[in-house]
Amino acid sequence: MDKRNTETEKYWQALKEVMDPEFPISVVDMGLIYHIEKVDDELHVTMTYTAVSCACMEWIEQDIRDRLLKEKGVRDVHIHVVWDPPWTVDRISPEGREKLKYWGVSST
Amino acid sequence: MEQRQSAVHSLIELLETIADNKYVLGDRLVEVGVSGPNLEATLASIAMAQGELGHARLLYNWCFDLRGLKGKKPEIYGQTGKALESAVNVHNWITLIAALYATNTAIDAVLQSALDANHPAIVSRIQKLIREQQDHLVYAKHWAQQLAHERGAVPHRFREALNAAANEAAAWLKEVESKEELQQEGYLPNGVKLVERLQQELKTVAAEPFVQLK
Repeated sequence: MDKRNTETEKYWQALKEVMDPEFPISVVDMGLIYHIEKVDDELHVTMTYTAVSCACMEWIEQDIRDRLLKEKGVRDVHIHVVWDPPWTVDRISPEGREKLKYWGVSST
Repeated sequence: MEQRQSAVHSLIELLETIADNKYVLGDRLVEVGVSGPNLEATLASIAMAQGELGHARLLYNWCFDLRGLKGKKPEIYGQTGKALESAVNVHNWITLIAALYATNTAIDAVLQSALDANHPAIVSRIQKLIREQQDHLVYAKHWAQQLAHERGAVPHRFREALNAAANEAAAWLKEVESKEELQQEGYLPNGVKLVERLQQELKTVAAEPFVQLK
């Protein structure tokens, strides 16, 4: 998980612009993105959600697609949602924790 | 090959039964839970409704994949008819807690057993759901204990409701235990004791034997 390399790093950076709808934190800083792989001109994003019952799944996935399709050389985006390993607050990045703290939200 | 197909068919039926119960419980947690005995109970009930409906969605979508179907997952407008009667017939706080506790405890017995069996295709799908379900079980159990020790007619009415829900859940678990193909394919451990697991948990509601499985 979190396998980042020079080829996919720019996509990770692009997804730092996609915000969680409930908090002003990116899906990357929330720890929702597990893996990004480029196969020819298609991106495969493996991700999870904070809860199985997340009501914003389609919304977030559309935002991820829209943002990645703006990248040069990306013709299609495939999103694979997985539940293993399960998301926990440990996956939030230090930057994400700082932002949550600023908004008065505990991340422990 | 035929045995594998039969096991997948039984797995779909099992998952759909769990999904149906969670779908119905999610609905009842809103309908009845909105007029819970206090504000905290009501808020928790509504929050858990979203959780139960989310679990149902995950399981229905999984069944879609297991059937080999492709494309956009269908919208869910209702259960498939496999939910337990005690969940369908929830009409007040007492029957809600009885159904929530008995049904989710039975579901937990199945899912925890599936975890024990350690089939990779199953474990990866249910890990998160099981963790989230623990909160629902704690809530249901504490309310069950509270209702069991209330004053007046409540304990008697709750005992009746819980016994009915628990016996229906136990009958379902017995049926699941008897499906050998689920064990042969490694979806459940060999010689799985689901009813026993349910019984052990229900014993913890009250000091005296509160639930009697037939």
